[in-house]
Amino acid sequence: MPARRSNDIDHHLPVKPVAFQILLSLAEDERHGYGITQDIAARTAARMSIEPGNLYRSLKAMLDDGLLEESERRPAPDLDDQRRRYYRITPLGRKVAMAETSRLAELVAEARGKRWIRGKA
Amino acid sequence: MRSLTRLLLLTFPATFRRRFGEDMTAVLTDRWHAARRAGLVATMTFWPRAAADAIRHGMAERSAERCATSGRDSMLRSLLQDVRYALRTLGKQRGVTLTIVATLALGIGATTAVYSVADALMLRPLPFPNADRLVSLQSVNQERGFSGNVAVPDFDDWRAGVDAIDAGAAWTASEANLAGLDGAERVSAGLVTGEFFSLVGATPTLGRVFGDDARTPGLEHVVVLSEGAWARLYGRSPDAVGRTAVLDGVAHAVVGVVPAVAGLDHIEVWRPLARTGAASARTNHAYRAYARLKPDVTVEQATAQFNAVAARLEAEYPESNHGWRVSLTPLQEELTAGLNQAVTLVGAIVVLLLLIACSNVAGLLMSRAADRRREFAVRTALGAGRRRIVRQILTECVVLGVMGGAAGLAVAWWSTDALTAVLASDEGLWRTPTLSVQVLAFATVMSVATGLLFGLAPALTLGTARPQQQLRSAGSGAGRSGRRTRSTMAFVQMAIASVLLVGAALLTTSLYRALQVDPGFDPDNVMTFRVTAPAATYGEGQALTQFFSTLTERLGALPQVASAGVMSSLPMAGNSTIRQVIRVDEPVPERGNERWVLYQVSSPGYVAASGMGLLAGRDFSAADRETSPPVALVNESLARALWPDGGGVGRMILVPGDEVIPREVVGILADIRYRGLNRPVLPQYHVPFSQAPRRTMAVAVRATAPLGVTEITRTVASIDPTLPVYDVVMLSDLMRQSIASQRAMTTTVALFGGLAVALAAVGLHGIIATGVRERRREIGIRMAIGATASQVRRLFLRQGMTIAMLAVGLGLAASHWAVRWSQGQLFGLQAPGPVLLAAVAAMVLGIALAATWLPARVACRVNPVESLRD
Repeated sequence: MPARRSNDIDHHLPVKPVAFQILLSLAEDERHGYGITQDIAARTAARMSIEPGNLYRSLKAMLDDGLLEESERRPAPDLDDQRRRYYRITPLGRKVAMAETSRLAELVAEARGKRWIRGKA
Repeated sequence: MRSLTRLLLLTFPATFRRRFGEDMTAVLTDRWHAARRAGLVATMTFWPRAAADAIRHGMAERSAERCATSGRDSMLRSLLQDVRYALRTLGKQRGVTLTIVATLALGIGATTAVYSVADALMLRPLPFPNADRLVSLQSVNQERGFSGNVAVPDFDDWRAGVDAIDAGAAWTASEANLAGLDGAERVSAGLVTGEFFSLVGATPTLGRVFGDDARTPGLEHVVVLSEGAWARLYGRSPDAVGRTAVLDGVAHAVVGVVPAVAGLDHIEVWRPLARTGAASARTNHAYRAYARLKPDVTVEQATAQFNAVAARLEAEYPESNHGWRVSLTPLQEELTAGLNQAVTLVGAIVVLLLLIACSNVAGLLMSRAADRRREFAVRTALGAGRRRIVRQILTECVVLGVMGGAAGLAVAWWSTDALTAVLASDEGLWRTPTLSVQVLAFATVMSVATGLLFGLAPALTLGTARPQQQLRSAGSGAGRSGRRTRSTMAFVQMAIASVLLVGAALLTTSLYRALQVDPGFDPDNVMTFRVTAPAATYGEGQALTQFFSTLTERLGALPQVASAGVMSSLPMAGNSTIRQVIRVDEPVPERGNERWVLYQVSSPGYVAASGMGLLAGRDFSAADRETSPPVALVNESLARALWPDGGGVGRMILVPGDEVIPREVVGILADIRYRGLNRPVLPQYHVPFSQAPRRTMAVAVRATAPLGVTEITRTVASIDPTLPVYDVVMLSDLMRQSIASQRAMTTTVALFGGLAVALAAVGLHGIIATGVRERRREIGIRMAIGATASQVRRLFLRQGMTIAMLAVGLGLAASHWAVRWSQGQLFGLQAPGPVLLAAVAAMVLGIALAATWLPARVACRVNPVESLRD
């Protein structure tokens, strides 16, 4: 299947919640599939649990869109299973994540204006 | 785990699998391990969740791929929509979904386990070449009422004279002392005739196997190793062939290595069954024999030929062969005969359980469907096709079935192990049941089929009604006929549960009774083991007596040991010999009236070491020698049988045929449960070791302080370092093992009985709860016109308890026949007494009351104003 790559950042917005979580997990580290699910579970205090089917479908779409890429780096053989693929965020992925964050921030700001959130507006 | 993962991944398109399959497997494996660490709930929910995820995303991926390649695929898309919608609705009603999935999981899991075991042991052919043509040979003697193993010389003559078979072998399992570099050990040995290996399809991995020529005296010192022994003793070295192994003190040439033989995989060395010694007597019916029929020969034709030879042998050797005939049984039939009973019984219970589970799920789904009438009516009114709605319901059912099946596999895993343990505690199995791909397919098909089965009922009532009618009547629920169907189902469930509970209670009481039985000896702190003094070193008679008396002396001298003694067979160890015994003054009884009693050879000190009670007279002593007057000990039962008027010490007994000189009874022992706690007491007599020495003896050592195996082996080695100590076991463990299979069966039935009651309670609760929901309006009116809360409560309690009482009545009556049927299958099952029946009835009714009480309480809290406004 041809990759649907597009450098137009707006084309990728809005980012689905699962995809956004994956981008967040890969913001600083390269991780393999199980590492991503573990990280998401840890950050959301286990409120969000991603099953493998969902995870890899999202990963596939994000790889096809050029938001992620497979890392050619492998961990030291004695540390981990060598066959596992590691994923990392691409420059495009980082830009999309940032654009999505500002989009969400604007939304939240608007919501604050309607006093939907308690605290300082 | 692997096959399950592979199955789940099949929902994804092939391109996706190639790209991510391996990674997804890794993630699933990691999550599975994490779930198992997290506990039971996480483990139970793991597969259903994984299955739901795979179905949803796998199909989405397929549909996306098809859209990309060939435009729209409306069929698949609408199916996908159905699946997604089904998952969402089921997710919203988490309680009902969990109940349904758990119920299905129990039913499917238990059925899969029984199917796995039956498949491995009964449905699949034996793992031997041309297994369908293999028969087992038995010697039968009508006159003496004997049917069983064969004598080797007879077998050799049959093999030579019968044309209908193309191979045949006699064999027996035995043991041998194997001398090694670091001391000696006891190994399992198979003694076989030449064609045994080709019969069971054991082709040598190394070297060769021996033929019938190796049975000739002088040529018999060859041995074939099993692959296990080859690895253990020679590290799989190819030089093993040609080396020498010292078995029972005699050097044997290793000629080859063969793979493990199914059902005999414990055997480490194979030796030729010699034509000399014990195997040469036509009266020694102690050997198993198998034969392979030629193609197109029937069992009847072969039997006729065998019996023609047997008749000839009878004429030739009237002394030994009078009345002996041959009977042929297909090998598979013979090997499964014992298992059939257990598997049939457990299978019957499991089918009942599945029946409860399915009807329960059907009930739950029906009441769910009743709640959703309005939703479906609205959808129909808005233009949804009727077929579309029926398909929606069926999709939900299939999704539930698949999730239940996935969770059921976890249940199946555990139950297969449990069931295998029940069966294997009786005898060795020739194939360990595992969850195979076939069984996986069986479970999947079953879960989908159950899904469709219980999906059909609600789909039919819903799909056919007209929307206006449904919208109008939506408030009043499923109506009278639906309610009656569900009441009937609850009734049947309760009845089945009562039957199972009666069975569980019966088995539990008989197990409890067995545990309360006084064994007649004190098994605590008694260590036992066996030693064999081989003929090559010890010859006969005197040397044997010398060896074992030195052994008991040295063991008795250890500081931790109170007493030590040897005996021919340990209580509850499952090997015992019987002989007939008469008073010296009575005539030899006629055939059929013999007094058969247990025969035991024991040494001084054994009575004290095993903690048996001596009621009168004395134990054997060092003064009882080979040359001194023959003496015996008898137990209480035998003394009473021989001398009903009492006494016994000082009287004389005789073993007709075997002994010429009568034995004087010197002591009377208390009765013991020799064959097992759940077996009756048998008459028994002992003769002193010095007057009947044997090669293999069991040794019992009563310790006053912790005693290690090393102290035992060191003591034996101090007399003869080449002798291995084997079968080391505490007497108390032997006693526990004697009821292990009863305990396992009881646990299984009690577990299933408990499950059945729990499921039936869920079913009853569902009925009443649905009734309350459907009749809210009616309750409101009743309360508005003056019914009190307790009257309303009583209305529903009466409904629930009527069902329960009728069901318990039917169940208890049916248990009468169920018990009678199982008496053929289970040893020692008694008919249920009134107390037990009353207890079961009280228990089921109590649970039924609880299950009804909860929804009835909801009913009496209905606010009449609100319910009428709805």
